[in-house]
Amino acid sequence: MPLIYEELHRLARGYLRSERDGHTLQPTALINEAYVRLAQQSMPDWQGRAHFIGVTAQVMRQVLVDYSRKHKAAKRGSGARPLDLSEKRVTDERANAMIALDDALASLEKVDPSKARIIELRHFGGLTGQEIACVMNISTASVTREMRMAEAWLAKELGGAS
Amino acid sequence: MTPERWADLERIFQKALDAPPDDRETLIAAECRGDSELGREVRALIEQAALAGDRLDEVVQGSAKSFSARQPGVPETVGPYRILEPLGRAEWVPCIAPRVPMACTINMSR
Repeated sequence: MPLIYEELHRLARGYLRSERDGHTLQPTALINEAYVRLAQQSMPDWQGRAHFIGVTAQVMRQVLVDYSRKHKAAKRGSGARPLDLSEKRVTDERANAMIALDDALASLEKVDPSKARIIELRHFGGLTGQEIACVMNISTASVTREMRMAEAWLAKELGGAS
Repeated sequence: MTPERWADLERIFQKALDAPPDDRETLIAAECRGDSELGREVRALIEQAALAGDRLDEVVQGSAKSFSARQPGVPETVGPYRILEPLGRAEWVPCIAPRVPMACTINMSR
């Protein structure tokens, strides 16, 4: 279990890395939420790190989407600490963008599930093209081509969502 | 979008992206055979291609930052002890296992 926790740590730190902000947020809340959700699943027999990252990528996506939808639904009277105006604007924009990305990914899953999986592994699981190729049993060149199509389509669907 | 339409869109997009930038417009026009809507979609994808990966990272990372900024924090250490892993959650209170000689949990609500 500690190994899983360390892997989640690596992933969450990658998400929260911020050169522009000049500081890094603590990843523990995100890690713990993902960990608890993973523990609630009937623990599969992990077939190596790549398999674990594949499942973790789905869990991380779900954590962030659930949080974004909850934030959007509970704008008023949520009982949470009130946000100042600029903080609120940024949080609202991020929630809207995450929901838009999740919706677009769900559409992509219907028309081309393999590309949706590649995006999940790359952007929610932090895997390299080579690692994705191993997980999906396809060539690295195929991953590169599928990914560029999927990323361009998703970015187009996101449009002005920010 | 139908699977056929998606396949056409991808085929022309990949072909155009592999071609030198100056040749793309001619190629798209030839491949789309008068289907102006298809041409418009291919051009829109090509416009996004260069920065699309960064855009998706930005969305995921932004969401993770908002999540982390708004959640009650669990420290990485408690006194001399480093937090190893959460053991579960009671209501919304995480329980964690510190590195100590004896097994014990810390209720983070206290």
